[in-house]
This record gives sequence, C-alpha cells and structure tokens, in this order.
Amino acid sequence: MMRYIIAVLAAGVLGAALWVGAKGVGAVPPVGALLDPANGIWHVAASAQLPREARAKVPGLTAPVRVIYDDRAVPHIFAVTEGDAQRALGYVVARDRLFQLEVQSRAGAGTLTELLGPAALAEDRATRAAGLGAAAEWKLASVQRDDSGEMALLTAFADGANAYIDHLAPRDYPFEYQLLRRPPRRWEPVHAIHLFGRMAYTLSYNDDELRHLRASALVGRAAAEALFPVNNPLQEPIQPSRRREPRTNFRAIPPPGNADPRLFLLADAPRRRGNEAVAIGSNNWAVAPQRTRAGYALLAGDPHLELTLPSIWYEAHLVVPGALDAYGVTIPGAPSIILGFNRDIAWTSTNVEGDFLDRYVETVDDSARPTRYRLDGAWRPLTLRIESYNDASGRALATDTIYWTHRGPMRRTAGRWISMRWTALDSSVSPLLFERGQHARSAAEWMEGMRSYRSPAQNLLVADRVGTIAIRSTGAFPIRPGNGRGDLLRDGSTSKSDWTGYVVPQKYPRSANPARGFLSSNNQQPLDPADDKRYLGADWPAPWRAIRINELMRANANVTPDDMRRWQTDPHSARAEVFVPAFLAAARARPGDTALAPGARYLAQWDRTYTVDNQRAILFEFAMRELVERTWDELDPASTGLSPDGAVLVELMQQPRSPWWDDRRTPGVIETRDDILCAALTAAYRRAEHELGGADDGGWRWGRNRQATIMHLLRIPALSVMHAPSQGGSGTLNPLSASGTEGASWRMVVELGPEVRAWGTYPGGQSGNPASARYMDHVDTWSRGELDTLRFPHRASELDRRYVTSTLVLTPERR
Amino acid sequence: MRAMVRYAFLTASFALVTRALGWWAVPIAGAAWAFLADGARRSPWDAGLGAIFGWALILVWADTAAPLAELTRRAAGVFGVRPVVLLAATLLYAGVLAWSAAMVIALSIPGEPPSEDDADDADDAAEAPEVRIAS
Repeated sequence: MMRYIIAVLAAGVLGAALWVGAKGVGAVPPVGALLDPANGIWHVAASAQLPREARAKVPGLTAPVRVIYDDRAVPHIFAVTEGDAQRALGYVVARDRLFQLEVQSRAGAGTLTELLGPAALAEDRATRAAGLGAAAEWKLASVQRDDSGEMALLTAFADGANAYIDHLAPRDYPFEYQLLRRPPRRWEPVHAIHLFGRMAYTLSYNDDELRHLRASALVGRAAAEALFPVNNPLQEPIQPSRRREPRTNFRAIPPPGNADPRLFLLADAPRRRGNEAVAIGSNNWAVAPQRTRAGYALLAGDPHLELTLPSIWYEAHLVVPGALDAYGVTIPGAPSIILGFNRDIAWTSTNVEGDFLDRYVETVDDSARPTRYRLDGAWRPLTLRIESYNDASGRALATDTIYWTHRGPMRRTAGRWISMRWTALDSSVSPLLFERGQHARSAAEWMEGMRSYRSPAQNLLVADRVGTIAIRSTGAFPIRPGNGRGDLLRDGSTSKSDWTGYVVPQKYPRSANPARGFLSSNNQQPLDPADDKRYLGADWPAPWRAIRINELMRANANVTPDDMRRWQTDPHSARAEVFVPAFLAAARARPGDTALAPGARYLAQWDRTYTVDNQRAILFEFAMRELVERTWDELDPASTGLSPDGAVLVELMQQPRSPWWDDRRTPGVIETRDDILCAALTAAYRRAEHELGGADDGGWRWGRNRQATIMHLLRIPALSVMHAPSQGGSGTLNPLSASGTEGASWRMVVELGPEVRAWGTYPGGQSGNPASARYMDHVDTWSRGELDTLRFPHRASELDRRYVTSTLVLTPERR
Repeated sequence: MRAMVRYAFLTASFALVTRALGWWAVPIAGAAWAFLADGARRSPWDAGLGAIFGWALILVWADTAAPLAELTRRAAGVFGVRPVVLLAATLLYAGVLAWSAAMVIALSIPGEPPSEDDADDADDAAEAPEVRIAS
C-alpha cells in the first residue's frame, strides 16, 4: 500500500514538474526551457564573449569580408565593395543587438504587441494613430519604384542581418527572446523604414497647438500667447547674429484672463512628453583652426536621447579601400554611419525643436462614423484604414479605424475631429543620404549632399581638415499661409489653411566659418527674430546651454580636444546665474525673516555648478520647482503639464508686481515677485531639511539626489543601470532630466588634423547580451565624463594585435 | 570507487542528454536509469543527484565563457529572486525531474525493490574489505 502511495506521489511530483516546465503556472513562466542550462537563459553566457576567431557565410557577398573587433568591441569592417560592407554591418549588428533591432523597428511600426503582448497596446495605438504604419508602406513602395539605390542599400543590410538570424539555433537566441519565448524575426528593408519613422516620432512629433489651446482655455488667449511665445525672450541663436549675444527681448506679460473649459476639453488629446523632451537636448559645437591650440578644426557632438540598454547607438568602422573609410555610430538597423567622421571630415547633429506638425479642425458628415469631410464647400471622401493589433500568437487584441484626410490621420477629441499634417509622413529619413555623406571629402561636399535631408529636421554640423566649420538647420520646414504660424489650430474646412510648400534649402538657417571662430547648436531657436522673422517653430527652449558653451568658446582661443571633452560635462549653469541672484536679492530685502535666512545663506554658498559632490544645487532645484508651481499656479503645471519656459519666467521677473505672482492659495493677500521668491526659497529649504537632513550631512549631495537611469528596453531593472552618477543638471551642457532617463547618448570629439583623431563613448556597451562583459562596459567612462580613444586604422594590419579581441571572416554563400 | 564511477557516469549522461535534447530529456534519462538499475531503491536518488551534478557541470562549463555570477545576478533580478535561489531552483528542478521519474519507474517494477542487496550494493560491499586490507 505504501509503495502504491509513494508511486502516486512521485507521479504527481513528476506531472507537476513537467507541467510547470512546459506550461508554467500563474506568474511562473514555463521553467523547463528557461532554466535548461544548455539551452535556456543560462546558455546566453556561452555567446557572451565573441570567439577569438569565427567564420560565417553571408549571401550576396562578392568577396570575403574581414571584421576585426578592437578592445572596445568595435567592429572594423574591411570589405572590397560597399555592398559587402553593408552586408557585414547587418551581420555584426544582428550578432550584437538582435533583440534591439526588432524592438525598435516594431516600435516604429506599431507592432510591439506581436512581441510583447497587450502591455504594448497603448504604445502601438499611438504610433499607428500618428500614421507611421501607413507612411512606412508608402515609403517602401516609393523606394521600390525609384532607382536611387536606397532599396539595394536596405536589402544589403537585411541580407547580412538575416545571414546571422537564419543560422541561429534556438539555444542561441538572445536573453530577451528566451524570456519572451519568441523566435527572432527576420529583418526586412521595411523594418529600417519603421526605425526611421520611430526616430521622427521621437524627435519631431509635438503638440504645440494643443498646448497652446490648453493654455488659452485656462488663462485666455492673450496670456497664452505670452506664456508660450513664438520667439524665446532669450536669444543666443544657432545662426550667429550681428547683435550682442545673449540678447533679451522682454515684453510685458498680460495678466491671466478668463478660463474656457470647452477649449480645454478640445485640447485634451493624448499628450506626449513635449516639454520634458525639450528640457533635455543635444549639443554640438565646432571650433575653427584659428582658435585651437594645434591649429586644426575641432568638432564635438553629444545627442541627448532616452538612455537605454543596449544603447541606441552602435559603434562601427567601415572600410572599402579607395571608396570608404568612415567611423562613428549607427542606429541598429541603419545601413551606414549616422554620426561620425572619415579621413577628411567629421559630422554630427542636434535636433531642430521646430514645428513640423500642424492640426486642423475638420467638419465631417457623421460625428460618430464619418465617411466624408468638408473642404472648400464640397464633401470629400475620407480614406479609412483598419489597424489591427495582434498578440504574439496572432490573437486579435484590438482594431482601430483610422480616418485620413488629404492632410493626414484624423482623431476625435471632445466631439470634434482634428486632423494633422506632419512632415514625417511626407518624407522620412533617407538612409542613402547618410551613406553618401560618409564619402564626402570636405565640409562643403557633405553639406551639399545633405541638402535633400527632410525629416526629422537636424542642426547639421560639419568640420573638415582644411579648417572649414559649418552648420545648417536642415529639414522640411513647412510654409503656412496667413500669419505663417503652426502652433494654433487651423480651420480644416478650407484648403487655404494648407501648407503652401517648404522652405528652400538656400533659406535654411546656416553659418560657415564665422568671424568669431566657432559654431554651436543646442536645440535653441535657430534664427534671432530680430534678424529674420520667419516662423520655424514656437515655444523654443531657453538657450541656457548655448549661452554657456559660447561663453566657454569665447573665453578660450587655444582650445584643445580635452577642453572639448570637459565642456561636454561642464557643470556650470547659466540658468542658475540668472535665478540665484534674484533669490538672494529678494532675501536680502528681508533681513529679519528667520525662516528664510538659512535657505538664503546656503544658496549664497552655491558656486552654481552641478558636480556630483555639490551640496547646494539640490536646494536651488527645490526652490525653482517651488517658484514654478507658485508662479504658474493658474496653469496648474503638475496636472496639466503646462509650464512656460524658464526664459518666460525671467521675462516675468521684469514685472515684480504682475498679477501672475499672486498665489491663489492665499486669498486676501496679493503677493509680489519677491514674496514668491522668498516663499519658494523658504519652502525649498524646509523640504530639503525635512527630506534630506542637514545641509552638510551628505543628504544634499547632488549625486545622491540625481542620477542617470539607463533602462533596459523591456524596462527590467535587473538588466538596467539604475543609479549612475552624472555631473550636470537643468540648463547645463550635460542636462539630466528629473527622471534621469534621458541624457547624452553619444559623446564624440574629433580633431581634424593631418591624421584625424577622435574620442568618444556612450552609456552602454557594444553587446546587447546581459551576460557579456561588453553589455555596459562604457557606463563608468561615460559617467565620469571621460572619453575613450577611438581606434581608426587605415587597414586591418594597422590595428595593434594587443587591441584585437576577435576576428570574424564572412565569406560569400550561394543563394 | 564504483559509486564514484556511477555518479561520474550519471553526471556526464544527464549533461549530455540535456545538451543534446533539452530539459525534457532529464526525466526520461532518470526513468531509464531506474529501469537499468532494476528499480533499485537507491536508483531514484542516484538519478536525482546525477541530474543535479549534470546541470551543475553545464553551468560550470558556461562559466568558462562568461562570468556566471553576473548572469545569475541579472537573471535572478528579472524573476525577483535572490541569485542563490535561482541557481538552487535550477539545480533542484533537474533533481526533481530525474528523481520523480526514476521513482515512478522503480516502484512500478514488480517485486520488492532490491536495496542493500542489489547488485551494485553487493559489488560495493565486496570491494570494501579489499580497501580495508589494502590500507
């Protein structure tokens, strides 16, 4: 009997173990395949390190390609033809970043649910509602029709990536695929188009009109105009002005007007992080030879984006003797170097925070299920597009009908239909331009090649060995009728509201070899409106970073590459230089205020830098938050997301008795500017002392309170870097968003001497394999603000053997 | 001595079948071992320990390619458990699969399961005096 019972129990245990192993239970995944040490998650360790030598076959190659990985795990690809180099790039990117390839392109297509399930449904819906899925199909059809060579470029990359994917055994699937129990998807040319669509979405999708409408709803149109102005009150433009910079253009801000809740409803469409994205930002600058110690042009670039693991960037060096020799970073999925240098030039870019998307109020025949929209007195048919969302097993999760007018997709908000026109739907990134740009021999040639670059608009900066430095805000800048503005909702019932064309490249903001000997861009307004009143965007970010970098460059006529490196993480804040004196002046006027005194004393001790060990910067940040919330209480920034730019706050400071200073929470008392400054500082000190302890006890250390968070693509903390110290703060050259999730995604300095020298790093590592020593090996270097020397050999044999960590030989495979 | 050989054989066998066929081969190998051992009372425990050692061997081998400690830490974080728990769970899972399958087979073989008097034990017992004499 006992034997029988034990047998039944053992069978039960076996059955349960098999069930849990194969199917999982509740939150427990199927552990069999997962824990299998030879085939499951443990096996990713086996592919964590690149083998000393490896060989693989790639279809389409015309000759063997030699790939040498250096000591930073950067592949140096030596190929005979450019097509072979692109195939090899596809192979090595897939080898190191396979999961990222799929996630990022799916994010651009709105098909994340097919990999990640229902959790990604909202993100996919937003992507497709923006029209990106449809636009990619049109773009692909256009690329397939034309003979520009773009399709061949995308296909070559896909051939290489698929050569890797096709020979991958399930046990070798990257860690994330093992977790998700999904096989990798083959890479198709359209996926690259999705990737570029995602880039455009990140960099140029905005809700200026809705923000303006929300502000108008709360405080009236006149006040909204002043709080979210077309032109920033502080000017330090990209195209150098003949005026003294920075220039101020302060105007009186009208008092708050009456609220109109109906407008607010209309504006209450899904919001993106508009302002937060603006609050971070990218930098680039170049110094002409006459202002550098060595007499060679210097160029620096640090695009600021969401920090992820693996990083958005992948370093590579492409060599085709006699044709191509380019080094830099590419976005996994792009078939060429995006930011980098060759033997003659170096190039980089920052985002143009302009206005490339307009919205129109449409009149439709049926508010619930429209089929037609009104245009110029006649009904025109709407194009209906059914968007289906499936999970990984193909099960339908949701279906949306997206209505398109001739302008773009239309969305229903508060009973009204609002369509949009967006440059990214007309023309996305052309990888061919970057591919051709890699070959340019001079700054002028590179700029000429990038003339037809459209979207997302970029401040392109280039320098060459001859000593030329040049910058141009490049992209499709729409020309609007009437007042030309794009930050206000337009009437969709007339074609007179439509864009009438695009600014021609000859009229783009630009500068080459300015007399001052340096150029820079930091996402600020490209043109000083005193020089050129054209509308290129609205609500531009305050040029704090531009003010600081230009100040540094003006003060130094012997710039070295190391100066350029240090400036990338310069901790000084031009913003603090404006606000701290205002706080202190207000406090000085109240010597008897004992609650205010300690905060004022500590703030006065601050050197206005955001070093990791600084113990006063946090007090200033708390005070600024209090100041913003108390000043703009009519807008309720915390819940509406409406917060005027810092420069507008500076503008308001010129009106010490403006009604805006009155705190509505204190009825019967009318506050002035200095009342609010003092109250904000007092509250900030109380908060700091309460939350962080004594001012010198260590709790106020900047590095303790603000760190970089580099999240894994699946937002899994265990695969992320959660607390990387980073020098910098709001308005500094190395800004860190409050969440710490955005920052410098790639830092590069290039010296364009007889032999080009370059340094760089990014917060991550070349490998996407969490078990690899290369998964996050650059993070410490990045965190310290240091750069690695980038190895740039002319030929394979030139790379010192000490620095060769792995060799891969790719040979042709017959299809 | 024979016990050491037996465990070495079981360790290698479980490592090989896992490597070749996957985790689901572990209960099959465990059952096969019990069958070959004619349902000896000890055979389920041998199978369980052999599976644990076999999977441990694979992990040690994996550690030569990349530091397993880092992977363990990250993977454990994904599942919200301590690294040692994940490692223990992995090995224990192999042991449970092999033990339970072997136990079912051992108890399903008719007759009293041989234990101390089974062939292997008899062999071991026969070896023991020789060892004592030699020492």
